[in-house]
Amino acid sequence: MRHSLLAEMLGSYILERRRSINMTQTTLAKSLRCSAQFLGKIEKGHVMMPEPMLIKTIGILSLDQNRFRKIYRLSAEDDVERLFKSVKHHRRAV
Amino acid sequence: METRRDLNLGLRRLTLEHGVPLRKLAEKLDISYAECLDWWSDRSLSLPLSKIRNLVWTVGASDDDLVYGRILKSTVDTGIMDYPERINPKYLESPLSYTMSSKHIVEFLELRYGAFLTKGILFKLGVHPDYFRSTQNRISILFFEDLLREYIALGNSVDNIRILSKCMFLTTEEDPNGRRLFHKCNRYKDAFQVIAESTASFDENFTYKFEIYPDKVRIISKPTEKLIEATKDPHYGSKELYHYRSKVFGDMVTLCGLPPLEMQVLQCIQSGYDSSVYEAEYSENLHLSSCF
Repeated sequence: MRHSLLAEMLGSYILERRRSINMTQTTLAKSLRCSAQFLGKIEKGHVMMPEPMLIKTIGILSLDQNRFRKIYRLSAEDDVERLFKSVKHHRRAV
Repeated sequence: METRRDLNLGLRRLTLEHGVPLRKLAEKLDISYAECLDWWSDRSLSLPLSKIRNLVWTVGASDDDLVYGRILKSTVDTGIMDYPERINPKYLESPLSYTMSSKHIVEFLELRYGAFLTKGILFKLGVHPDYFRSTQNRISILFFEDLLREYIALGNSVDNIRILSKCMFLTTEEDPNGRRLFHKCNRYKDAFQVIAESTASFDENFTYKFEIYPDKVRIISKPTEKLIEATKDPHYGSKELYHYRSKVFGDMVTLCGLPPLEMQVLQCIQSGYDSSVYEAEYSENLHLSSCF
């Protein structure tokens, strides 16, 4: 669950980009050497794409670095807040 | 389940009622102009379901909306005819907000749910995405309320609204006006001064009084006379709106390069008070202030 927002945003971007260049899920899955089912889970944001696969995807779909920056920054903001909330709860419990 | 015939009839009615040019319709349906003309002049001809459904989904509507004529005129104007300026008239009645106050939410929806769904939401509300090109276009607070409602309808809880106030950087860092408003600060005291000066660029719905101390800030926000006059309600606003507002000032300090603060809500307009009062304590010792 830790990567849920990041996974959702990356999945949504990959799906959008793949559709915009009229590439089928099967074709992309073949290029990435994974099953279409696994790619489907990634695109729905249920699973975080492993980094080596993400590197390949960036190349295949020509993903935009600026959009990645925004996605990672938003996700990091979310993670940091959760982390500091946990510290607060932990302090209260102690 | 609507049949192909129902959807074709619905599309004919929509084209006639709203005067959609057939060239535009053909382009949106992704068919040739000749095919579209043939379909229009011969009622026995039907367009494929997939073509009609794709058009309907593009404007954030459903099959039922098309069949029962529930698609707004502003949805047709913006989503099918591509007129960015013909937005839903209800959002232009008392346009006391600037698009700067909601553009980051539109961008966040695009990042999280993709451009197709986000455009669909905007078209459904009757606002063209191009209307957000300038952060100084005016729009009513009703749009903000409706946008929050659409966000909740996507399966988010009121608590999930928090992320919407965190993503303000999406607008402020790319827009020249946003960059001009927020500069880096080393102290919360200075950051709140910057925020206090920026509020006029977001909306004219509320007045803000910032009481800034070395160790805390108190923000008193009241609806303006203009808003009360427009809504005829001194306590106007939904639970979602005030939840967002209770978080936004604590997150705005991040635009000045500081960690977010948790604002305490001392009183809220929604509970019947004439003003909302938010307060946050901070230590200029940054690694502690963001946490405790």
